[in-house]
Amino acid sequence: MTFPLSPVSKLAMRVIPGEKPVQGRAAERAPRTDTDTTDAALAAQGDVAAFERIYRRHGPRLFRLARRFLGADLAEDAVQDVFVQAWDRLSQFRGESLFGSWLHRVAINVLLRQAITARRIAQRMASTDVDLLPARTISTDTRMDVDAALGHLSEDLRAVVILHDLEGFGHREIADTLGLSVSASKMRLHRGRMQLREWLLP
Amino acid sequence: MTLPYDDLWLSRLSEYLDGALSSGEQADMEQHLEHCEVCQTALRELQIVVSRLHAERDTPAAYLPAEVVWSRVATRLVVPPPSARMTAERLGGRWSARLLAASLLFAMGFASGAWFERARSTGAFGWAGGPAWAHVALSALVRARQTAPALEQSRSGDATTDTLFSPKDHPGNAPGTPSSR
Repeated sequence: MTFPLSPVSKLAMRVIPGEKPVQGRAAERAPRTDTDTTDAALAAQGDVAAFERIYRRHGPRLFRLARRFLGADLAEDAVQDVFVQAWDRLSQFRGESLFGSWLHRVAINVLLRQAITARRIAQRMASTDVDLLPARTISTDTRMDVDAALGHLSEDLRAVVILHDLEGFGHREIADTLGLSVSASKMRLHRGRMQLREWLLP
Repeated sequence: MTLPYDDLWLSRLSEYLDGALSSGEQADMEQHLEHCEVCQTALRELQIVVSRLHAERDTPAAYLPAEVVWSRVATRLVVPPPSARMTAERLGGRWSARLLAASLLFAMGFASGAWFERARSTGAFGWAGGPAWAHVALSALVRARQTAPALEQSRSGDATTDTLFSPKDHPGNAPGTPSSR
């Protein structure tokens, strides 16, 4: 499936000497490259107002991503953690990729860690007290709810399904982001989709 | 692990659905699908799943209570960013270390020069100052310097000024005296 690029995205795909051209959904995810780069540089010097502009541009998109990874209950706190992590690591952004892609990668790392932690907590609570519900509640009536269905997948499969089928990443991008091989990414996507049949089929 | 024949086809259904197979593989898959009911069923179900997922793709971003979340984020930010501060501290630390090393080297060089100059002006390195190894090394150097002309003279046959092997220093070797050895 191909995705039409906006004029700004096409501008963002320009080849900068010494840097790899950014193509596909990665370019589309970060349309305001120059503004982002400028604000990131200012924020790295301690300019909180510049960082707030970054937050306002990317917050809603990352909030949606957090809901998909963790569910609505944990998404708000997770977005906070994503931006605090991004702030702490601003000096690591060297402008070799689009800032939006870099921020997205930081977010995925934070969300994956939190998803694993949430599952462990849920397992521990389930084993000790059946009245205490897991962090991500899954009702029995989830056949129409994609986010809830995703909650049934393991973090490994969930991450690949979200990135490929919901965020529009290619397998190469997923492999780079998650530190996998392309074939592993394809295999996880297939296994995730196969498992989702149980929850998403009418 | 080698998959059974049917599982092998099954495992590639997602790639077929995404159009990620090569033209040859796609033709083989279509040929297989004609007679494999298991794969046909799985493909139909996968199509439903993928269409459900793709329908979610373009849903508007979820409502984020931006002000509330930002106020919480802002209270957690350490200004300037820790990474930038660490870099500055690392750079500052590196230059401080260099300055300290340079100062130490300068001080050591100055002290050595002063000590050597003092030792040279006294004429003999018999004073107690300075480390023992330096005293021994400098004494050896001075002695070697003093004995070098004497050795030259002894080789040329004139040993009257030989201080190193003079009878005075080695009375046992003096002519007419019985050797102690």
